[in-house]
Amino acid sequence: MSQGRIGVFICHCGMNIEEMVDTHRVAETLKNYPGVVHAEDYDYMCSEIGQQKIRDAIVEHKLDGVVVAACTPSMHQETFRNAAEEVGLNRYRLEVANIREQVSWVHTDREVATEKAIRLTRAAVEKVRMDDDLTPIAVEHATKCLVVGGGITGIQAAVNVANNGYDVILVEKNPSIGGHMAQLSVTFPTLDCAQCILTPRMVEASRHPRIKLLTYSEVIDVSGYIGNYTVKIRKKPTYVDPDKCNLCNKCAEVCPVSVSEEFNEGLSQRKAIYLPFAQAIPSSYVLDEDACLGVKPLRCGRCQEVCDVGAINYDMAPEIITEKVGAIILATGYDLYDPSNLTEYGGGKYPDVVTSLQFERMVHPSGPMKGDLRRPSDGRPVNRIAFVHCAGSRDPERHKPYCSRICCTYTAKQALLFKKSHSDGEASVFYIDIRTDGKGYEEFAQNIIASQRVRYIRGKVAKIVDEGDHLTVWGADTLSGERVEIDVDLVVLAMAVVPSKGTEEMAKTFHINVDENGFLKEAHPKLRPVETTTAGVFIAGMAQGPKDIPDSVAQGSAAAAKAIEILSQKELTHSPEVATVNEELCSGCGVCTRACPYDAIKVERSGIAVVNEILCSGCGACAAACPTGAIEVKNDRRVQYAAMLAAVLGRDE
Amino acid sequence: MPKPKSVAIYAANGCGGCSQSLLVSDRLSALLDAVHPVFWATQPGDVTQAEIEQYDDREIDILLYAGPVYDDESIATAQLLRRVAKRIVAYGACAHLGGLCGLANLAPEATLHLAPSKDGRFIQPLSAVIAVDYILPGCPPPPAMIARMVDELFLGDELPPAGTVFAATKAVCAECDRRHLATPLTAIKRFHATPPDPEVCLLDQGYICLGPVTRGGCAAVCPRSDRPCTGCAGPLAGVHDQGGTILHALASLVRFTGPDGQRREREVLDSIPDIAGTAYKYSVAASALKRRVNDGS
Amino acid sequence: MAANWISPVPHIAEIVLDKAEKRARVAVRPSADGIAAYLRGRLAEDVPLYVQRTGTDPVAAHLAAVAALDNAYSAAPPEKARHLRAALAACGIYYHHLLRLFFTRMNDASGVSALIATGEAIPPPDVMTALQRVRDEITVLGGRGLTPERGVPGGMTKGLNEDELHQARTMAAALLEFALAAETAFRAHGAEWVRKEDIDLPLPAVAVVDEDGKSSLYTGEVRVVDPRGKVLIDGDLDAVVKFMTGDAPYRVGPLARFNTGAGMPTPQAQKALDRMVADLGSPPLHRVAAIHWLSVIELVAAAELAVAALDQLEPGDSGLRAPLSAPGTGTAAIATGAGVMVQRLALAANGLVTDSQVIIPQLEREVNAALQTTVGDVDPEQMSAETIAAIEGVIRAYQPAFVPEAPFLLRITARGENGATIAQWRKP
Repeated sequence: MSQGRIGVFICHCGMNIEEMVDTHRVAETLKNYPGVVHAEDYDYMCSEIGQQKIRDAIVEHKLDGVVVAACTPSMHQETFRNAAEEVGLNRYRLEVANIREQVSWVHTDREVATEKAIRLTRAAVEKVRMDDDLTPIAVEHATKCLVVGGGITGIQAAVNVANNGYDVILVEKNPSIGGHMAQLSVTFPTLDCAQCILTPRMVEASRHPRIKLLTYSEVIDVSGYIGNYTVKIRKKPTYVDPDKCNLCNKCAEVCPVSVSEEFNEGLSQRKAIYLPFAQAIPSSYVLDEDACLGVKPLRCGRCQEVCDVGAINYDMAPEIITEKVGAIILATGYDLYDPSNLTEYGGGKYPDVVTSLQFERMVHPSGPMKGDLRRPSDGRPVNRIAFVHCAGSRDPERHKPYCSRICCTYTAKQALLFKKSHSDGEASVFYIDIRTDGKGYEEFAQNIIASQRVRYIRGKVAKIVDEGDHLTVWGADTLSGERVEIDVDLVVLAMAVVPSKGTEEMAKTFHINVDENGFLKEAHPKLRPVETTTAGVFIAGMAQGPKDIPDSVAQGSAAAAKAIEILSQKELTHSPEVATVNEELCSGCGVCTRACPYDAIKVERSGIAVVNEILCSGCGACAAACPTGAIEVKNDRRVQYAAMLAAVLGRDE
Repeated sequence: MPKPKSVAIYAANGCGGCSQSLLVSDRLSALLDAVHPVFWATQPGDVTQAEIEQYDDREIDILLYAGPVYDDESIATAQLLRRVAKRIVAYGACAHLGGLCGLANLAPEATLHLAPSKDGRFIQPLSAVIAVDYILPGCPPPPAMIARMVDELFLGDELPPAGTVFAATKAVCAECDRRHLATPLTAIKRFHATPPDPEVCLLDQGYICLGPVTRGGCAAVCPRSDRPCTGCAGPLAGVHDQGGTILHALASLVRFTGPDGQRREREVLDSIPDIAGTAYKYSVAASALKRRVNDGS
Repeated sequence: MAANWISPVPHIAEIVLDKAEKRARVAVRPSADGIAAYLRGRLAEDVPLYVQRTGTDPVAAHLAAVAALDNAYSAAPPEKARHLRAALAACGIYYHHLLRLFFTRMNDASGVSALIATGEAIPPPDVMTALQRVRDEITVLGGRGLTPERGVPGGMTKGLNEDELHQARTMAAALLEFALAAETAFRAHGAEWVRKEDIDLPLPAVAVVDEDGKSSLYTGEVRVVDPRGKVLIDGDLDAVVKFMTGDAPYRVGPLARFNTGAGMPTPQAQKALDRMVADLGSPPLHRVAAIHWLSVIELVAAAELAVAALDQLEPGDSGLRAPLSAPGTGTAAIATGAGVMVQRLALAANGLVTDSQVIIPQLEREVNAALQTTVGDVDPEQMSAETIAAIEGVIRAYQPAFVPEAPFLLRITARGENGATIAQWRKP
């Protein structure tokens, strides 16, 4: 509790606040407010001079509480608290009244805005008056990092963390790392061979002494808190010892089972025992338990018979691996929206209506067609091709409301690739508008459009009809206002991207949220783009939302930096502004345990709720939910709010 | 105040359950041995206003008042009783909170056999019209709470402090043996249609149990009968609105993640049937709601 | 009286002289006129809770609501639940009769002990013990003492464990012992008074009979007989409801049961009944004071029924609830201590009440008829001492605690049309 020696500092923020708030009047008014012994205003409180004013006043006036009326506390509360702490004031006795975002920026009447600034500042004085001295909570932590997802984003993050000297566990659910990037032909706008730039990173990740690679694995349980997570990982058996496998392919030759090949987006078949793709890492065949005729009990056994090196072991069992980690990075990537949702385009039904990823595989030199583009239905060459933008994107009524961001540029690339190999071919692109937002992308796409080798038609495709030997595309050219009807051999749908399968369940496992479209939700869309509301859990890449490779890689590095921030601490401190339980009032009803998004409060055997202060973020959900009023957050107590409300709403004396 | 010497019971406006709860109490004979009973009115007219007026101011040491106040006459009677009694106990849910009758405050006025009092209110708790010294909650008060009241108020050496509620300070949950579940609440259940798991917290199972927002002291008798607490003992100290608080708690308990989580949460909360009768069964008259003010719909 | 649904107090209230009508009538407190408006939109499963707090017999009201809900959900409760409910119903009757026989209003505050009608034969503390014991029995069977709460459509929420069952059986045996003693005491001290009281009021009778045609104290068919014993309605509930809500006076309760059924449902009660028949004669009997003798006999019957039901009850919580069908409309009638209760509930698909009817005929209805016959219309502005004495005579016949040696304060209030008090008389 303050003994009534509170100092108040009003920031002009240049003209940001001063323009709409008479800060001098705020200071003069507050000088006469009970408990306030000092008040002044200044241009920039966050400047070194401003901070010095706070420090000086604390010493000179023996202040036991400080209010800074300035911008949002999420900007400079830490700055001011650090300054106050330097001269011996407990940092939790400094509060920020937000008179910029909540006052000057949202009002147009200076008189009213000044009055509101006075009231908000008074409220902060009331809060400080009842603030207690608090001590941050110290926590030891693990120094390993978990990275989930072995695509380019996860690889980037893992290598960055490992290069800084911390151990990484890289978990990938598929038998090989590489992700979708490994499937691509070339990347826009430079037309680099995707694999050529990806595989060195894959190798780096797999050879790195600090990276433990767990492919064919999934995280099944997470408990703990920032710095101290315990994760359980289930590694599926591959039934092939990667150290012994010499990639001779004899096993696949004798395998009697053929199934659709994931890596080629279903355009080819693979065996139950197979190599995911040529550059797969780990470089080993894998036995697909679901496709195999049977391992337990063994029903076939031919692959083991032909394996010269004895790499195949049918007794391999799933492994449960438990790791303690200090930080977690989720980079679980994306899938394409299911084309069979687009019935008007015959998605998933007409063999010659393919997805953009299928097209990547079709034109890939080592793809199922060895780069020789042909119609999947009858193998005839493709001379006329149509690309359809926004297949499932930007369609809030029926499909996905958002822009998938990468389609405009990769479609331009795909049209260009087609024209390179089919100089006499006809390529048409149906678009709503062209969004090529990356560096060099606009020039890249405009070059292709300007060359007039590709026909860009502004308009949505209404319908596609499979006429047997060709497809008819019906649409409208909204620039000319004419109906368009063209016959083509192949249609490529630029499918919307969606969070990869299982993202929602994974979010639950990691106690984080997903947004309205199912992508992992960041803590703040601008200032905390790779953080989540669960401390120590970070997100990166397509799992957070549609983005291209450079953005994904950048986020991978950003997440790595955030993780290193934790791993490199000697010990972690945790805000002491956490929930507390009044045992006299708690009846153990357990409502708080459900309200808590952090699993930080439990009803003990004693029938009393107990807060794990390290897990608690001080959000107050439990205090609001508590039916008996037994829970309060330190320095956010009900009496403080009552006093603050009275100060905000009360009449002037 | 020295030990009370006289008691009067005015149980005039309720269903008779409060009167009977005292009649069958194991402490009745101890009570009648300890103090002189001035009157025991079990229905309107047993003691008239004219008769009450004949008592001196503060002549009756302790008055037990059961039943709600509901019209000008009952308000006038309560005010008279206040004058002649030193201490008044609001006995039972009606006097304490308005009781079940309070739900009638939400019905369209035309459907009620009830004339509003002059100030436009219908059923009211006793404390809305006179100062109340003690509260004995419950509908009717459970034997253990009656025993506590008799012991503390009539048999003790000193009167309990004003404002004493003869019930627990903690909620019903503190007396309930059920264990908590870790899974989130995703559907509202009704005990007549889906028999509850006898060992798991009813609220956790989706039954709207008012245990968390209701004063204990009843040994969680209703949850022990495999039915949710209906809240008859009223809110805990410091809780202003019993029904609103349980609804607030429910809003915290119902939790879905995922893209349509908010929609699904709203669906579950919207599926709560008869919210007034469930959350405010005994406490409409004492709540922020108080009464229907608009017959428009 | 406002708020009809909260008002009722199940014993004789004040006598109201309505000046406008210039005739004497007894206020019929248990009217549940407002209940339909009150219950509309409420949860079906809460109806047994609401109706038991309307001032009528709380155990019977609970069980009648539960029976109506059984029908509304087309759910026949399993045998175990039926035994449990039967034991509860019997205790409800026992509690009701005990209160009526031994207690009256306590507005003179002379306490409970002075109001024992049977004199020294049954010491007052024994009455209190019996009353507390039956409350405890209801607590064990129904979860709460005065207001049992375990009835649900299709069954009961909870059964009894081994200990509780043993406890319940022990208490039931003690209740039977007390009932038998009360019957003996009544013959010694009360029978003479019954013989002397000479109000004879021929009325049709409405009562519930069991499958053997004997008086039922719980479920069965509702039968209506005329004053000579001729059956007017037998089991047709719609016709019964029409009759009961009509204007014609009729009798319910112990004397109506005696005139309607073929004797008591249990052996010791039947023996006691035979003794009364030897004294007062066979049905039809219209001697009003016989109600009290019959009440004592029914006290025995109720205890025997509780003992029998508990004998057949298995311990444990399983097998207590039948599956429910979609909700609809359900009507049920059960016997109560004071009469017959009928409840009709119409439920929406979501299990909320859309309409309801609660009929609670009790003794007051008959008292009205008796006052009309015996006293007739009176002018409230000219009440003579004779009139007040005549009114007292009628009340005394119905209320056993008003026997001459008991302290008795009779108050007569005249009310105008708007319910305001015009005048009051009080016999010193």
